[in-house]
Amino acid sequence: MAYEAAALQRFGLKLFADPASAGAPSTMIPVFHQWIQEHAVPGLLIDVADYTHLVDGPSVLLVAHEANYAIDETGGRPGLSYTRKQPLEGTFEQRLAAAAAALITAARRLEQDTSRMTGGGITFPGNEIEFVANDRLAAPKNADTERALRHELAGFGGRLLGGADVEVGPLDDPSRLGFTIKTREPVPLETLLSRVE
Amino acid sequence: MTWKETLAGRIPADLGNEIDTFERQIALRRQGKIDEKVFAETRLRRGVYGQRYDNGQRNDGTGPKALPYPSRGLTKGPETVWDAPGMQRIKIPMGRLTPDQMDTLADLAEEYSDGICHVTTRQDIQLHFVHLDDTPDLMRRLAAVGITTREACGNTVRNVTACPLAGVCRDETFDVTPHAEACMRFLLGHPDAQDFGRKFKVAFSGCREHACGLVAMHDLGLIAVTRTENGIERHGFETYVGGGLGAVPHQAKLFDEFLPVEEVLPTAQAIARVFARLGEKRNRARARVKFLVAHLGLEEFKRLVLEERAALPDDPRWTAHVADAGATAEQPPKPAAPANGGGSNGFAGWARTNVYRQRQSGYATVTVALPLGDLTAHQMRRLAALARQYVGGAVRATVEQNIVLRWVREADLPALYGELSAVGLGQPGAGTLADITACPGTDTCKLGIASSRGLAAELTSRLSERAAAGAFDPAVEGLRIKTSGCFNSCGQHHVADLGFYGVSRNIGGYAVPHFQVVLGGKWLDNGGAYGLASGAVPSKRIPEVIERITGRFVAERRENESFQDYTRRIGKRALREMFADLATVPAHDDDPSFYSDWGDPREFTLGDMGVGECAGEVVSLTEFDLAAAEARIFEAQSQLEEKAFAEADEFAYGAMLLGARGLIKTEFVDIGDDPGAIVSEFRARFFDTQVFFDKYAGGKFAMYLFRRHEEGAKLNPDAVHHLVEEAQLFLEACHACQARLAARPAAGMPAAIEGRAQ
Ligand code: HEM
Ligand code: SF4
Repeated sequence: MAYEAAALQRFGLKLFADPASAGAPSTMIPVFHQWIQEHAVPGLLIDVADYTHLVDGPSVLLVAHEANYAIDETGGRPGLSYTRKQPLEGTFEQRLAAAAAALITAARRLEQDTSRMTGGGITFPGNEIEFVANDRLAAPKNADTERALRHELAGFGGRLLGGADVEVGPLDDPSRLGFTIKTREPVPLETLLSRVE
Repeated sequence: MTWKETLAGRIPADLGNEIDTFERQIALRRQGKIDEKVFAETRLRRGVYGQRYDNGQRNDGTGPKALPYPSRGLTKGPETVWDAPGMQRIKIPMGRLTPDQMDTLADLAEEYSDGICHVTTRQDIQLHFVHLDDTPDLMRRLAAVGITTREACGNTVRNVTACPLAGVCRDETFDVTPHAEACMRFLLGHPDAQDFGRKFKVAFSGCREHACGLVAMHDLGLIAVTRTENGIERHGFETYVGGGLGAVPHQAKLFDEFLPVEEVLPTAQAIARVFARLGEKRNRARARVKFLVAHLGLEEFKRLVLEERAALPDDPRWTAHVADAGATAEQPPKPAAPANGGGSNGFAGWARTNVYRQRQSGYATVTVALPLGDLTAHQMRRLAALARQYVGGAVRATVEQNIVLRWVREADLPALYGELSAVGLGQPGAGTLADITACPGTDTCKLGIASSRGLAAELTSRLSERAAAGAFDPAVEGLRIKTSGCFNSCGQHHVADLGFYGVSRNIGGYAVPHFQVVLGGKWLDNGGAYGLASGAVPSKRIPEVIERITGRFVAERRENESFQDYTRRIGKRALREMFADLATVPAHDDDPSFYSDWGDPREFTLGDMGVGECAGEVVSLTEFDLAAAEARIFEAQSQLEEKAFAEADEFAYGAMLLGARGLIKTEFVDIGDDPGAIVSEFRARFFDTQVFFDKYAGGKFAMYLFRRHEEGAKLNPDAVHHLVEEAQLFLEACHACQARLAARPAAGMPAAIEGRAQ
């Protein structure tokens, strides 16, 4: 039976940062606290969790009711991730777009918030986004699911990153189901956001 | 498709039914058909705990703010909002994990939590930020790999712990694993172990001298010993009862010098029955076995247990494990291979602290040192793969919040080190000053006062470089640091050489996070002695405390003197003086950094503390203050022993104020810490109304507080002695008053009116 992405609600997206710009994750702790005060990004923002003592995973989390935002260092590649926990309305494509919009909004906010970060602040080239399925019931790791999701993601990625040379590749971590979607040229976050809003 | 359907056939029927029942209870609570308190007990027994801010409120640094969860009206316990994230404790008997279980834990951390697995101080695993509605599926997926969360919390037999080296240790008398395992299975869900007033903790240790089992701080602790009878060596346990940490720590007492292995389970059952029958139920602060033993006296307690034991009907499970106790021992996965050189940079330093040569030659146990007990899901999965590859699965979590891989061939050590390092799990310094234990503290615990994890993270980052360079003086290298966010001692600070627990002090109208410094506890001898409270120091100066005391110890140490002996030799007064200058706090405007906690830029506040869930029951702010008062009395007594009269007086007075404040909080008045305000509110609400009055003593005990408050400190030895005793009596009266209030027939009626009517 072909896999249907319709049931997949738990998934994550990650936007990679320019590693040279990323700085120490701990500089994000006060930033996230301020975001809670200012309701700066979508969602019911609850708390900040500090895992800067770890490598290879989320480092600083902004925990929201609907999703976790995180400065993520998985695979040694810094970035901002957004992992859904609560269901979203709409088709899979619409849900992907809504999650991407929240993620890109947060990334833009980080790019603009240079005051608290050392070395001029973090930047996101905007030409690579990672998708991870995070529900082993709705999306078990097997060839069917992989094929169906790849198809969905290729369409979504093409529209998001815009352009013909969008590539959908495997994750570094073979234990997880997901893809990296990239294009050659950087895309400004405003542009990305305009494509999912 | 659901998890229930997908996993059908892989979940043992009894576990499956229990989880289905729990899911139904969730549904009933949603419909308002189960009372919130009853539901709280139900979920706690399954390890589903509340978490900080789940009352729907959080101070964001500018003031308390509402967290408007979608299902605001629906609660999962008193003042606990339904869809606020919570903690899931996952019971891991003896810390024993298989690679498949580790993979599942990693999956669950990713799907339901924040991508992190946390090892606790009792060999369990915890996930944080978990949604209640996800817990049944989470439990099913655990059940499918042989894990139950049943009785991970609540007034039950908690996780049974044992030395992580059991079976491979060079010093153990015999492998306690099969006995601990049998005990766990026997007591899990046992009808005689369901009606306790408080939690019951069991630990097994293979020897007396080392710390691994921490027998002395358990309700029931067993140390492996042998006895030769008629030329035959028999296995048994030196058995202890009534130990426990908490605000008032107790060392366990010797119950039996030699309890034959066949008698362990029936005796545990008999103890459970006596505890269920006679243990305190109403006043949770007095409900652990330690209080029952103190109340009855050890001899009487023992007599009752033996009487109960004699009356128990035989149960084949008591001894089923004994015959094949040796056969269940782990087998080495590969033939032994001795070390043959090799190893990248850093290998030698890591091997020195993180590798233990097993009793079985050619094999070693490797400690994977986890900072703050945490590892990412990705690391957990990699570790599972390495465990499969190198040791065939012999993995255990430790009470020092690490994970060990047993049965590593010595020849494989360099390669394993390389692979661990590649995923950030190759930190050296296991079992050294840099290997720090911490409770959840203000990060996620509702009762947390100060940030035990923030402090531990700061200390780890300061000390780990020295650990890596092997630069600690040998006298201090093996000392342990343990931090708790409050006096409840979930971080086991009492048994640390350098222990710290969170307190708050009011400075110039601001709350300032502090840690009480507890020195010279004994980690060895199974947690053989508890430390001395040596004064509170602002959180931000704790790193200096550590530098100073370890420096002084190295400089002033007599030949072969232990740290415990050193702290006792120089005495409390000298210790206090050592830190006197560090105890000061600069004015807020001069240095605001003192007014926020480690790792948290918000201005420090106690306003985020909530009604905690200690075990099965909800802990009100009143109970919290009364328990804090107990901790102060305890400190007052130890100051008295040290002839530190001014300090003893201060602690005793402080304890009475806290007791009075606790009672004031039953009327939902938030009073702050001003002594004048506390005393006058207490007088108006509890004394003038006679609510506080005891049937026999009337208002006598309240006079102790009033007198000390009005007349100030009298520092002669007799006066201080009296005051400490009076404070104790006052506190007893506070507990009694609180119990009367809790038993009021008409809930919601103002206490004062009730009191007058009595
Ligand atoms: C008045 C309430 C509480 C008391 C008296 C208390 C006391 C203790 C003590 C004495 C230990 C440990 C030591 C041992 O026997 O090995 C412990 C373990 C622990 N406590 Fe608490 N605790 C309380 C509430 C809490 C709360 C609210 C949390 C946070 C949610 C918490 C988290 C822990 C953890 C993580 C452990 C190690 C866990 C395990 O059993 O696996 N405790 N507690
Ligand atoms: S010691 Fe206090 S702060 Fe730490 S987990 Fe226990 S109750 Fe919470």
